[in-house]
Amino acid sequence: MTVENVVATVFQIDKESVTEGSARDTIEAWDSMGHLSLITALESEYKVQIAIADAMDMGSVRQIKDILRKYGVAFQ
Amino acid sequence: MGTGNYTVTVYKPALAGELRKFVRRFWPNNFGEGGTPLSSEQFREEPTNTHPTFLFLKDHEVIGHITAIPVQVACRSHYVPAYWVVGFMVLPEYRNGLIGPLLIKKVNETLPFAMTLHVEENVLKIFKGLGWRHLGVLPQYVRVVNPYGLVNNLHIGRLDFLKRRTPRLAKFFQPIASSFVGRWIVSSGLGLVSSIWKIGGRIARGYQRQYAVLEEKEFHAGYDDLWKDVGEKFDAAVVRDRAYLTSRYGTFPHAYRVLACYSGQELVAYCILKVKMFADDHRMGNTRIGTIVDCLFDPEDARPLHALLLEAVCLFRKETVDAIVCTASLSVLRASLLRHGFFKIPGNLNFAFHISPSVTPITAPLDAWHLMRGDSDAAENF
Repeated sequence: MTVENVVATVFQIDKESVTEGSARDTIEAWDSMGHLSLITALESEYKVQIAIADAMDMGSVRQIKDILRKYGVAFQ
Repeated sequence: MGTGNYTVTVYKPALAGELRKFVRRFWPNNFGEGGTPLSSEQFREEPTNTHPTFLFLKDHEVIGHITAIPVQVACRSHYVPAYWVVGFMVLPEYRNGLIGPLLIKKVNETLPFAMTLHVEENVLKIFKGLGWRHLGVLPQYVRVVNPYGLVNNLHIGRLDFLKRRTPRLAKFFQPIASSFVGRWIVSSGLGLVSSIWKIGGRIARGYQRQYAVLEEKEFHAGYDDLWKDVGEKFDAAVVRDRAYLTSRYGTFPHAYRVLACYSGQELVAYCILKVKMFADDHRMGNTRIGTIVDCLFDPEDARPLHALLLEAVCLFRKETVDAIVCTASLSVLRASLLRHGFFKIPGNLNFAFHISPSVTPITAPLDAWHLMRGDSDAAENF
């Protein structure tokens, strides 16, 4: 599953509406709890353990991808 | 990787300086420059093992805090160690992020049974999202004592919880409360009702002669005996024995007053009262509020409770309060309040708890729990 799909699933929004530019301030459901759910879903999807500091920096789809790359996750 | 080293940890003495800095930044007024001081329950300068405190650290700086007050919950004859979680604080620049949820996650992992009485909806959302069971909002009751004082002081339009819970009622009262004639009509109506209850109270006091209601100066051994007699009659209640009362209310002549109901030499019920004078508060104005903070009585025999409520109203009248507030979940107590001229207003204290799988689940509904504003630290505001 792509990061965009994980984001769409966690926040229950249309997959088409999620782009690399999608961020906390553009997705209404992306609040404190939403962020924790997203991190949990990303850890489960990509089989990684995300450090708190990195989790706190994941404020947009683009940032999520950049950070996941450091954990060895490859994206096209 | 991310900037800074973030950790969630349990307080240890080496963090005392950082914790102090955090609270100083959060509430500078707490340190002698006026304003509302933090209660000792919300913040302990030196947390102990009995009061676990959880900190969110960025490098060595504290940026989030939550602490816990140990209690015992009695479910009839079954006793369960539990904690009230209080003092949930995150520095403003780190809010709406992961700090709150991760602190509560740590609480879930560490404390087998944790409870909260929380006002803020956004915080409640985090508790619920992390598996806490929300039983509802504690019902709140008010008895008007001085209608003129109350109506002239309250800023109804600024009472957020009222607007949230009953927007129609708030909308109806706002224009009335903002006009002199409207305030006069409302306060006269409430004054009439108040006078009727006052006369009723005087008559009822004549029928309560089998009980003596006295103001106490200390929690003596009779308080343990009372808990032993009645404690196991509640489906769910925090153990209110002498040790708990002393630790919770301390040297009460300063902040609290205690009315005790005796049948002969035997203590059969008590209630804990508090008077708060608001000073030019943006919502409460200069209102003087009396609060029935806590009480204990035999839930199968409400007569001592009635005697206490009659005397509590008299005491509050002497203290010239404008209104008496009581927050209570237990159905017997709620019914008694209605009989004593209290009426229900929207509440704002949400009760939620989290139990780990190793603890026997508690299935009692909200109205079977004996919860009041004195539980947790919720009496700090009223």
